[in-house]
Amino acid sequence: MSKHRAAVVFVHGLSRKPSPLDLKKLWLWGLDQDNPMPTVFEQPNPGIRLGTNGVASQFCYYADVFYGNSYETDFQSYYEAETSKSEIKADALLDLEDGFIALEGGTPREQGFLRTFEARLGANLSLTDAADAAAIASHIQKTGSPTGYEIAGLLPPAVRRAIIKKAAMEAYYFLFDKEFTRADGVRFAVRRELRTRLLASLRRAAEEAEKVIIVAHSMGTMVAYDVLRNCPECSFVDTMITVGSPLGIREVQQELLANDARSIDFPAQKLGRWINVYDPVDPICGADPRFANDFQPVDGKAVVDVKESNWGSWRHTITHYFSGTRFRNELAATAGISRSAA
Amino acid sequence: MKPDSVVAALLTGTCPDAPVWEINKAVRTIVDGIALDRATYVAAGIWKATNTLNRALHFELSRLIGQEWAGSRDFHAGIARNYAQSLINLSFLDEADDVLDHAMREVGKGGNGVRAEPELTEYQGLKARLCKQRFVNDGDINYLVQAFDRYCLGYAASKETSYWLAINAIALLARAERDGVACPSGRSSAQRAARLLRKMPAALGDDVWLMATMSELCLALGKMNDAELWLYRLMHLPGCDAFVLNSFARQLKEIWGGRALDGGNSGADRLASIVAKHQMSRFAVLAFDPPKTRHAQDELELNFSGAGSFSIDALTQILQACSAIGCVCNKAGCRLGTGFLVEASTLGLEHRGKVFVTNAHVLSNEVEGALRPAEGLVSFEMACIEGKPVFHKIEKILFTSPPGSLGQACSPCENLDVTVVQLEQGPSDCAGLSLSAYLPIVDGDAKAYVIGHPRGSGLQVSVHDSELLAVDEASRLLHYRTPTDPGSSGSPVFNEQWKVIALHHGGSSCMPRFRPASGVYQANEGVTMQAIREGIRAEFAACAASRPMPLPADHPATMARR
Repeated sequence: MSKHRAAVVFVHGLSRKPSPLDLKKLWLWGLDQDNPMPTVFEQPNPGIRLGTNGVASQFCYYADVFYGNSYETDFQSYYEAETSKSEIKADALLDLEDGFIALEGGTPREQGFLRTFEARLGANLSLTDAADAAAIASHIQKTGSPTGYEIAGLLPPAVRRAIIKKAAMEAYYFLFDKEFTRADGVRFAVRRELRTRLLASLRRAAEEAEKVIIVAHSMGTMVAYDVLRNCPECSFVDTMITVGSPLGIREVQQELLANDARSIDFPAQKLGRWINVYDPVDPICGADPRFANDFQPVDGKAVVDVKESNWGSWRHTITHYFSGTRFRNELAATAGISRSAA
Repeated sequence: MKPDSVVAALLTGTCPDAPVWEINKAVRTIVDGIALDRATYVAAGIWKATNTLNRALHFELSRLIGQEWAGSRDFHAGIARNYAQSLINLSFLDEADDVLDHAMREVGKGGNGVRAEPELTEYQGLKARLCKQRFVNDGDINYLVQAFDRYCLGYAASKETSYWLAINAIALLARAERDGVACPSGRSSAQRAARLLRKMPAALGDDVWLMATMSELCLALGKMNDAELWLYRLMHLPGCDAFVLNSFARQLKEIWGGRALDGGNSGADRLASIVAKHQMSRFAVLAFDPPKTRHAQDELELNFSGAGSFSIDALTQILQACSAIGCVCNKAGCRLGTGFLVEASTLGLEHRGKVFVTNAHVLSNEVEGALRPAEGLVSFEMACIEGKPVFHKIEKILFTSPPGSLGQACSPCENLDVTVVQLEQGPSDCAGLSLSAYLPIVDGDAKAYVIGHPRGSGLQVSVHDSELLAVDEASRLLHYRTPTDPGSSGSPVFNEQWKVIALHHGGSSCMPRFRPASGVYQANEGVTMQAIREGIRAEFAACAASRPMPLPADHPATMARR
């Protein structure tokens, strides 16, 4: 059987997720919808139906490493919700599960990472009173350059603290390849496990398609970059599209630095193109959501940053990113899918 | 299914599960056998075959057999009845009249066996139906009155036991009353209906026609709850097949004026709507009147139940697609298949403008049973003028490839079951359907939708149970569950973005699976548009290669010519 012309490998992000099947359906639904949020995104904005257009898709699922089969079952916020609480709840960020123990001991480097990472995110989600969300968002849209104060104003303090803690713990376990013991007693060497899973997904995609595309979200972008830059056995990927990525945080970059590199750089041996889509008010992206000036170009290849604001007070939700016209244009062009409505 | 098996199935009264071109071949065998092999092709078998073909709505095939029998063998009352029925359904009304007159004379003579006498009632009923059909076709009130009289005479001749004759008379009388037409009767339709109700048997058993009669009777009496109850009972009887439902739906529409989808509140509207919804769920098609629906887009809230919902954009695309889908008819206007318009360039043809694509087993000079293009016409339902179809002649065949067996693995460019023709003049302002550049991935969620004219009906959109099941290794054939019927042949098969991916050509409950899988399953089959494009390309490349190369200028023969 001849190969499909392209395959997309999706890599999810932070925190507890719906079951693998439900998550895939939700992500594909997010891409499918015609003309979502017409008040935010320019019309026409037809959906992208990968399977209908002969593009295969795979999901690299790893939430079970941390959370087992305790799947998220409230999907409401993946849709056009507005309340931050429902959106963040569905990203399961409010609770800190067992297993994410407070770090005792650890190397100075590890302790330093946690402090600094939390501080970075905390600076983005800082501490002043909430201002009018709409006014803030409007200001950001006009100026294009949010400050921590402005991002902070959109989220309640308890929510901010929970987000920081969970993001820090997941990043820590991955970047330092710590062993994580799940609630049911199963143990994983986190970085090795996540690398293995993504490498397998990429291998399968390369076997079934002429071109492989990665679409990675949030913490999943760390996994994707790590595999592309630091795993020689990784198959070639035509394009990686990162959304809501914390790769702009220096401490994260330091832990992903390749052995043969002086500074963090474009993984040119295994990657053709890298498009980074960010919402400037997405707190997980941090104060530096743009990467073109961080990741050293190699062989003429450099990160292309694409700013696209979505909506609501929690801008990190994947289906919000997937609704964006600019994101969709990039994915369609990469996958060779026509974007005409008729 | 082997050819002999198809013949045997027909002769024993079983509807064969075979593609229509194999049924065509079997009918040709039977037709030839009627004259040449009297020992095998006896009256009982022929009667069962024509009965089966009529029930399956293969009226043209039934007609061929009936015609051959009438021309070469002794009169048989049952065969003659089936022959007349096929002619009426094909709108050969004058011919049907002649057949019935002859049949009634023969039965009147006596000596045709014990079956012959009861057929007289059927003949009288068919005569009445002829008149009814003339009234429906022409709107001539005289035919309404004639039909009414004949139904009444037939009912009386049956000693008031053939209730279906009575209900038809009542329906026509009610129609006359609604239209304000004088129809000599002596009693009103309501009075007649009340009388018939008293005569109906207490227990109807599993008789589908009695159930249908009861429902229609209650409609005539304005007892709508009872009418609906009897209709639901009818629809759940095992014997209630598409033939029965189509007959009832036609009566509701043509005589009672029922409209299934216009949201009307009359009793007939309600019953028509119930039948349409049942057809949608059971036979999984939604029939709507595209020209009317086009004008009602702003109020459209169609939920193709079980198939999820469609956005207004999608519904707009569907309606636009309908304008390019046509019906292949014979010169009598009988619908025999479906086809669609595309830009010639999308198929790799050098012809300018749009071309019409259908199956070779529908339209061909070579395939057995297919309509010859010289005899064919194409109409487009969305381009009707005041409800009347506009027929377009076929100018020439641009490409054709005969059908193979279902699920057949062969060269990607052979047995494509396609005919591409140029029409003398197609509908104006029609964009033609868009072809998809790619085939969908079969992942359990992919869909395949079909729009066509199943069983000679109006345009129907088939979206229920529309799973795409498989694509063969050569990307030449698709299998899908999307329900279709005879007459759907030649329909476009769409992906979820309403772009054409294949040409529908048949189905089977025992469809061979594509390799490397083995076994059979229930599936419909389409030929991919990319295979058709490739077939056209290969044929034209072969033609170019076989053309003699022009001799060089300095060749002695060339110089000698100078």
